Order: sequence, then C-alpha cells, then structure tokens
Amino acid sequence: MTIVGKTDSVDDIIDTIETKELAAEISTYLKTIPKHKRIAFVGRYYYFAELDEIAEVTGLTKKHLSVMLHRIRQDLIRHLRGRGFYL
Amino acid sequence: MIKKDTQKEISASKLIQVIGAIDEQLITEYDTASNIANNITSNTTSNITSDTTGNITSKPPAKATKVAVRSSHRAKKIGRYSAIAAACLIVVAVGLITASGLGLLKLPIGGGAQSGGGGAPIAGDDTEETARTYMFYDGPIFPLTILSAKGELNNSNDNNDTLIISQIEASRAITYDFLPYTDITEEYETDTIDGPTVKKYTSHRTEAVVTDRYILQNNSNADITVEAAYPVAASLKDLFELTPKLTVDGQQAEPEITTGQYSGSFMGAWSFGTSTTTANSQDQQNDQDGQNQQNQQNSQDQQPQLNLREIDSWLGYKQLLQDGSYLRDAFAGVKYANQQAIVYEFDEFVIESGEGVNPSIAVSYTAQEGVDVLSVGFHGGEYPGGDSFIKGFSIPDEQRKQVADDRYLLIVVGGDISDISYQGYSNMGWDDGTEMEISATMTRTETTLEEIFREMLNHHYSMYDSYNNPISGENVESTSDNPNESTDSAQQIAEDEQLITEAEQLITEDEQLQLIFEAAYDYLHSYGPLSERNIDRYTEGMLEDIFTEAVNVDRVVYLTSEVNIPAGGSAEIEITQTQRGSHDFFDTGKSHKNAKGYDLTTSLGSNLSFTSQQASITDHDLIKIVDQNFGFDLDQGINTVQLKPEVQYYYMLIEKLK
Repeated sequence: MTIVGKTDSVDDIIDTIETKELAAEISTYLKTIPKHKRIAFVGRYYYFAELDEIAEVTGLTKKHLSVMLHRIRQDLIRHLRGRGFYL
Repeated sequence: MIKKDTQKEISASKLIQVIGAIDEQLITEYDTASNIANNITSNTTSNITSDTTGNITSKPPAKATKVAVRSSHRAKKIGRYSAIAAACLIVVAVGLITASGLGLLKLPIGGGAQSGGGGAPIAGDDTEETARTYMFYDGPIFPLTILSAKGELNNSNDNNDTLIISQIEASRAITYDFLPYTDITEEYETDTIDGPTVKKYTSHRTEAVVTDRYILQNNSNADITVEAAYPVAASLKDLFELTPKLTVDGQQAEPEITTGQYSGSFMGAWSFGTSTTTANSQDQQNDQDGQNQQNQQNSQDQQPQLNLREIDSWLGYKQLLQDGSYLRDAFAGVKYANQQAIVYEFDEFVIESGEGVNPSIAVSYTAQEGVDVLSVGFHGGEYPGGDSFIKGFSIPDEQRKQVADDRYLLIVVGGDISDISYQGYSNMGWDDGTEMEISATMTRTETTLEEIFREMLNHHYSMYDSYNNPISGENVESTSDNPNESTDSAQQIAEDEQLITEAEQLITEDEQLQLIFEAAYDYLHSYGPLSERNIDRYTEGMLEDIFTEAVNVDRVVYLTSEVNIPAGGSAEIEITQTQRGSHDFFDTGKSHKNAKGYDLTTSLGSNLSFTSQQASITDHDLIKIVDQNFGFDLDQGINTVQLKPEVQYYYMLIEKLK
C-alpha cells in the first residue's frame, strides 16, 4: 500500500538537509535582487498574500507584479540551475 | 521511500517547506514593509514618526498584528498549498520531483537534460543529419504555406488546389533586425541586505525582430483566393506574449489561430538526451539516432515517463513537419466524444473536533476497470490495491479561503464509482491514529466532461493569473554589478506594460481562454488518463496539470489568413515576429558557448514554389556573427544574401559586440 507523505527516519534526515540547502540558495538569491522584488516574492510565496495586498506594500500595479514575479521565478530557476540543482 | 505516483504532490509540499525556511531577515523585511504600508494606508492615526536621526520608523498598527499572526501561522500552513505552489512554481517543483526521488538534490553541473553533443553546428546541406542542440530552442522561422486555393482557371476542368497553387510563384525576403541587442544602462539605489547601495546594470534583449515578407505572383488569368498559413514554433504562452503581426497588402490582418499538438516527447526522470515516448512524428528520428541511443532507450523504456522532452534542434521540427501529417492533424478539427461525467464535489468543511498541522480529507472509493477518475483540488493519493482508491486534499483554512476560491472535485468518466466514503486526518499522512472529525458536504451531479472541464479550466485561470503572464525575461542578458541582479527598470517596466497592452489587443482574453480550452481538452485526450498513451506524468488525473501543461508546452501554431491575388497580379504578405536567441543555460563544451542561435528553414512544410529567397541582417553595429551558413560578411558590408533553394536550413550564431 502506497502511503502519501510517509517517510522513515533516513528520509527525514535527507529531507532536512535538502530543505536547508535549497532554502539557503533561495535566500542567497533573494538577497541579490532589489528590495521591492524580495518583498513581492516573500509576500506572494511565503505569506501567500494577494497581489492587491502586495501592490499596496510595494506601490506597484498588479499587472507589473505579475510580470515581475514571473521574472523572479525564472531568474531563481536559472540561479538554482547554475548551482547544480536540476530543474 | 517516496512512490512515483505521489512525488508531484510531495515535491510541491516540499517546495512550500523550503520557502518556509528562508532567512528570517527576508521575512522581517516584508513584515516591516507591510507595516509601513498599512500605516500609510490607514492614515487615521499617524503611527509614522521620525527619530532623532530623521529616519522614519513605524509603530505596529492594527494590521501589523495580522501580519504577526500570519507569521506564526505560517508554519502550520506548510503543506497546505500544494496546488498553488504547483501553479506558481511548477518548474521548480518538477526539479524537486526528480531530485527527491533519490534523496539527492544536487547533480553535477553539465549533467542536465539535453546537454547536447557539442561540436560544430550543422552545415547547410540538409543531408547532414546532425545539428546544434540547445537547452532553450526557440525553433526556426518557417516558410509560408498555402492551405487551400480557389479560382476559375481557363482551359481547365480541374480547378483543384494543387493546380491553382501551381499558378502561384513566391519570392521571399526575410530580415533579421538586432536592435533589441541595444544596451540599456541604468544606475539606481537599492536596499540590499547589507544596506543601501548604488548599483548599475546594463542589459539587452537577445532577440531579433524578424520580418518575413512574401510576394505571391499569380501567373494565371483568373483571380485566385488562397488561405495562407504561417507556422510559428511557440507555446500558447509564447504566442500570447509575442504574437506575430501579419499584414496582407499592407493592411493589418486578423489571422485565425490554429494550434498543432505538443511538438516534443516524453522521457524518464533520469533520461537525458533521448526520448522514450514520442508525442508526434519523432519516431523516425529515434530510428536514426543509432545503436548507442537505442540501448539507452531500451533501459529508459522501463522508466516512467515523467519529464517533457521538448525539441532541441531544427531536426526535430524537420521530422515533425516534413510529411505534412502534423499540419493536416492540426486542421482536422478532431472532435472528442462528449462523454457523460459524474462529478463529486466536496465543500463546507468543518473541523468538528481536534486539530492538526495540515487537516486533510481522504476520499475512498471503488472504481471498476474502464472508469477514469479525474480530479481538481486533490493533490494526494493512495492505491491500496484492487479496485480501491484513495484521493485526498488539505482542507482550506480561513486564511486560504481569503486568497483563493478552491474547489475539490472528483470527475468520473466511463461509468461511476462506488463505496464512497471520506475521513478527516490531522495531516496528509493519513496514518492510523491521526484521524480527525471533519465534516464536509459531498454533492453529486451529472454533466458532460466538456462542460465540467471548461468550467474548471476557467476557474483555474481565474485563480491563477498565469496563462497570460507576459514577458518571460528568458532572453535578457545583464552585465550588472552583480551578475545575479535582475533587469527591472522604469524603462523596462514601461516596455512590459506596452507589450502587455499590445498582446492583449491582438488576442483577447476570451480568445486566449478558448485556445487554451481546445489545447487542454485535446491534451487530456492525447496524453492524459483518457488517452491511449496515458503518459505517466499525468496518470494521477489532476486536471491542474493538464491546464498548465497545455499552455506551456511547445507546439507549432498556424496563423491563417485569406489572401486575394488578382489575375496576373500579386499580393504581399508580411509577418513580423520576435525570434529569441536559442542558447544553453551553462557551458556544455560546445564551441561559441555564449552565442545565441537564429535560424530559418526555406521549404520545410511549404507547398509554395519559390523563385527567390533572400535574407538580410540589420546589425546596428551591435552584434557579430561567429558561425553561420548564410554567407553574411558584416565587415565587408555583405548584409544581404540570396538563399539557395537546395539548402533547407540556415543558421547563424550571434554574439554581442563588446
């Protein structure tokens, strides 16, 4: 029987290491981009904030945010690829 | 061990976990900005004061409390947002899927998919069956073709299409304008984690504006009307962003858009460089790939087909288009039987007792062979064996309800399911002892697959404004202080907004949704659980995958327009489009590793008889050609060349001049 989400202790350890490594790379990447982009990214993908709310925080339009977030994602992918993370 | 049929969900959850583990400073930065914004917005009692140094500080406003609460709740939300994660960051998630399977996230650089064999690019001779491969391949510029023709030719009782088209001669002039390589340099002040810093960056777009112009000469003594088709290699997303403009005799045309199927193939998660399942006519190409690759393929046949393998060189398009079947299929207008569908929708969730990190509902049912169960909103599953199945989802909390109108459906086709029951759990593990009392409403309705599919697709894109996300930024090169610096600027933003407007004007949102519906419905029946192929990538039956994939995969799109050519006269058709430089993401050992590729085909897929074809280049002293088979010599002022009809493929590799 295949159980979703079930892991044993070894998997847990590996998972923790992976999470830390990837989180560190994402953090590194975010620190290299302008503040308003960091804020938009964190708002959207950490807090799951609505674009309206992020627009209020950043002063950007929703459409601009949509484009910008898309670009950040693409840039992030390139960043991670460049560091050996297969995407 | 993570099982393959649930990796996608687990990876999406993992992604959320990962973002949840980013540096606290980054989170605090958002909190601070949000607090200040809320202070400014509320403006009823000013919480903004100046300290002795003149810096603006803020006291926690009412809404700041909400942020703080959110922050503490964030940990509890981990794992609840797989669906939105998949929609927002699907590419990252795919990477994690493959990585998490072995518990090894890092691969050696250079070992990525489609790393290519390097070596010299192809010569123009179309008998040469090698070609430069790219990790990002935009596809060549294709020639115009004629779908049908009408005309009353004298001295003939047989006015069929072929005969009429034979009366037409075409000349073609294609121009590559590299103005987008113009540098845009700006200085700006930005807050980095180390404090305010003045930075500058210089960027340019690695694109060419391509104008492809045709004169169609009618050599008969009768007026001829043709339906001309212009093929473009693009995903729907690309099409919406970069819609080519088509004019007929100088007048802007409104071409019909017809989409071909996914042009690539599928491969195993750990297969690099060869395909295991062909989506279209690439079977022949595989036959030519040689024994070595055949051996690889044999081993890969055992692998589940989890990854896309998009076409990475012009030879892929050659195989796809040369026999005409792809075009015929695209215009065949395949209609799928509108099957009956039984829909089970779950909503009105109430946690009656207990609490959990990730409260979820697991729905158990029995499905006989031949019954397919698709889903929306479900993101996990078990297969206990036999005819028994379990699918589940995390129930939305109040916060989630504020940001998304999630729906949770099982869509049954080919019969019905039975023995339906559901059980609440405190997490998605569904372990014994983690049961929770969660009540929900289950509604059973009968409809048609097409109707519910369209409804869910519209719902999906109303939630995730992703399909018309313009301007990918794929082809922006930057030479900023920090190589990782992105390329936003006031000018860039203005350009984006302009391009967004232009794109929206060319293809309305309703038209976009209709195109997506047609593509996605076809995709479901061609590659999804309802298809004979039933590609492993989609066996879970999650419609969100189909919705997203149909928009993002490469295909050949045809722009068609009616053109009248007077007897003995001519008509002019001009297509203006952007060709993005094809490239690799990292050094794979090829020559000219930083060059961008631009290419065209002279006759592939076209039934036109060309009297001449010429190519021109407008370089603006911005670029140099490091490899080519056109015959340009920019130093000698040779910017226009005649193309040889016997050469099917022309390419050039471009580098920006320093």
